[in-house]
Amino acid sequence: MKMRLCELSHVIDLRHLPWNRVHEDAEGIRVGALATHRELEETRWLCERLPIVADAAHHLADLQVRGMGTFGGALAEADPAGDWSAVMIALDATVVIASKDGRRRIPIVELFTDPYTTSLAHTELIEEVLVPAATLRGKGAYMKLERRAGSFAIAGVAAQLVLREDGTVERAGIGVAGAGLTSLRAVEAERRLIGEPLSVAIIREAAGLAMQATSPFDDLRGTAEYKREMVGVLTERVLALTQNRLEGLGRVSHAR
Amino acid sequence: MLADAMVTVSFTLNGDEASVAIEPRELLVTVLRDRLGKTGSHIGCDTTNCGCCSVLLDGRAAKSCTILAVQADGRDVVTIEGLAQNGEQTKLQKMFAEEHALQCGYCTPGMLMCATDLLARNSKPTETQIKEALAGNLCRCTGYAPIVRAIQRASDQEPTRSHAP
Repeated sequence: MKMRLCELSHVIDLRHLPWNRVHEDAEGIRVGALATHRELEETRWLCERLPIVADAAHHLADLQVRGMGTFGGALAEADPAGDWSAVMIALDATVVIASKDGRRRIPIVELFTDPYTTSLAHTELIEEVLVPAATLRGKGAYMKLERRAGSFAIAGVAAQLVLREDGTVERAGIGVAGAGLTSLRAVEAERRLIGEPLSVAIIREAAGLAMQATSPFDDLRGTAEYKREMVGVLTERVLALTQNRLEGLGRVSHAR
Repeated sequence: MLADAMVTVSFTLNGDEASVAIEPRELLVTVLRDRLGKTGSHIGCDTTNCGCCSVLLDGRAAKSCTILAVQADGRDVVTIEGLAQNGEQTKLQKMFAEEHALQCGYCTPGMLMCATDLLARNSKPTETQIKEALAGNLCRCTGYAPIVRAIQRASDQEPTRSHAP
């Protein structure tokens, strides 16, 4: 609006809707669309439960922007390099969409259709996003490469893994930002992990498959080749960090 | 045309009630500066990058160049002019002066508002936490080291005088 990319006769502030709640019920964790990035960053139980959310919230834009920008607003903007889209894909989230006719639900990957374009009808709003209980048993991480602090990602990778008692992977979610026309799901990389115990070799294979899932393009943030390479590097690092978190070791060095 | 109609916006400004007739399209920073005389909030980039226009909105730092003034209706706004009480600067402001944490001073109001927000929630921030809190504020002359030192001293911590190679 300010950059004169669009000219609007009216602007409606949605903030008066009571849609900023973050809470847990039998279905999972519900994140209200109007929760600001900063509210999520400051919701301690949420960040402890889902470190992947803390990773994204803390490095999204800057302090001031995090206090005004909303979680649902960022998803609806559908920036191909958006942090929340990759994270919510990894968490296998469901989007709850409201309109005057009622509500409908879609898997998060079906929200993004093109750069800055969603499957929302003009009469619809994102009300909340549901992180299903099945993924909450695991742990995950999000890392992005940025040109400077607070920038959109050159590339970003989010992962959430649930392990069985024998240490093999039961569920795997891998979301990638900045490496295609929309944020995307690295399906083959997820499949490679399922049923296997985590090892350096398996993680490396999954990273290679995640690179193949991308279709990046050249722009000011980098060449397509560079972005694809970085998706591989970030996938390896994010899976290693996830493994450490699953083992209760906490945050480790990003060094390979 | 409807957009030209004036509306009245009321909010708390530095502890006092402010009420002002504006066009709905006006930004908070221009209303603060041009209609309410609070020229301490600077317009540096006008694109949400530099942080010079930062104010506290309900106690949290926000970039007033990217907020419509009507969005402030009913809320609490604090500008740089609202930090000192009865002519007495805050400890943070005094430390900025002592550490020479400003040169031209253009970015300083935004730096102070963000540091005020940080210290209100974290009385002993680490050097990393200080730097992260200032990620949305650009300084193009002093550099950030004295600003970080001023915030360390304002929170009764040993300032970082030099960095290991």
